[in-house]
Amino acid sequence: MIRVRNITKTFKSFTAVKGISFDVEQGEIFAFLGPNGAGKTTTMKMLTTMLSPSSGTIELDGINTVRHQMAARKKFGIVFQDPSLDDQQTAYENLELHGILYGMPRKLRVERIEQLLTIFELWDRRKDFVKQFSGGMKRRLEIARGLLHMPKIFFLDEPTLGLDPQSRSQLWTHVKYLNDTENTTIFLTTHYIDEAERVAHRIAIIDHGELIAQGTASDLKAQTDTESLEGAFLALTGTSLRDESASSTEQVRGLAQMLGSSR
Amino acid sequence: MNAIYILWLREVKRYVRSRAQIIFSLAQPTFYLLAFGFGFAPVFEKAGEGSYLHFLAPGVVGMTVLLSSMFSGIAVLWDRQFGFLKETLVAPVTRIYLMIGRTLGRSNHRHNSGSTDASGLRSRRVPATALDQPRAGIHFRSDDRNPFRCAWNDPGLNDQRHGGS
Repeated sequence: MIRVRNITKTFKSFTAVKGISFDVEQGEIFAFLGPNGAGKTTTMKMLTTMLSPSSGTIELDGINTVRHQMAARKKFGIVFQDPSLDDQQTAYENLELHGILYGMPRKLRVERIEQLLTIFELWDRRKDFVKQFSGGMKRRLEIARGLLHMPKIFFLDEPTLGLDPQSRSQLWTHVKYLNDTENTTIFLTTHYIDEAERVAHRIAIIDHGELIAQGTASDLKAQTDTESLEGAFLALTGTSLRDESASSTEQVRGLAQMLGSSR
Repeated sequence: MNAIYILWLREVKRYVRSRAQIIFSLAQPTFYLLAFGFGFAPVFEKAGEGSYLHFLAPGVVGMTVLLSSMFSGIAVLWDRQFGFLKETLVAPVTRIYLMIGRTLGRSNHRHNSGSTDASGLRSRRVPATALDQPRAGIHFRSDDRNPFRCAWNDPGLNDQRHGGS
């Protein structure tokens, strides 16, 4: 379903991703782990057509992401690391906007919005503005939105960041349910290694832009001779701390906080 | 095409819903008219000829349009900061459609605030020619007695005031 061959990404003199290759089968839940600054986000951006690789090819459901960008975009849904909802619109309007952007016919759109809002327990709040939602509700709505156009591949970029344990466990229940019922291929990144172990069928670990290990959780544990996946992760990537320079978005956000402005 | 429509709708909804923006877009020109209108009008009328309000009105409309255009530009940055921009960037819609939708929606605001000003001014008997053609072409005439007097590059007004010179 996802076929990545030898992709690299170079920013000026810095190589963020150094020739990684992997495959994700249909219906699989694939976790992509790595310390900060390892190249996770860059890989994710390349997979979701937001960056084009310096070399190598990516195919989503057989479609080359560089040559057929629009067709590839229709194949996947995504939940970003940072919130990306329009908080001045209602939950329903957010989903409607998404459905129209993805060119869904009206009848299907209306049915699908109702179905997803019901699954994610937001149907009663559909007419409320997103700015009134809690962090967990926003995440649920974002996931519902990502799944609205019935994508074959679903990308989750640290979906549980900043959520309480209840929301986290509920989120994974939903994700697993959708994986079971709609056979959606799921590609996720997370820092919570226990979650990756619990949910993912297969795990890949990236560090310094290279794929250093991939396989099932038990494969990785056997490979490193450790008890837990967290132990395996640390054995593979080392225990030193990683520093990451803030992205431009984070810098803007910091500035906005400093100025005490709000929308 | 639908993508353009929904982005246009989003901008319009946001404008209608944000009370602060509507109040600001009305308050700002009112402030200009009151402060400059009453403040400078006596000076202007002493120095030159004609009504100061007639001279000021198109500029105020122009300022309003310019200011809300600047806000539209800033809104893109807000969308980036709050992440919504990414949602539209990964959608299977070409960038040009995103821009058109957004620009149409925003130009509706500008038209709204501009025409609200204009209709407000009309009720104060400012002639239509001064409002309907707020062109930015101002020319200074060196041979004038008064170097501060400038005429709008508007044939109608020029004919009236300067005998078609």
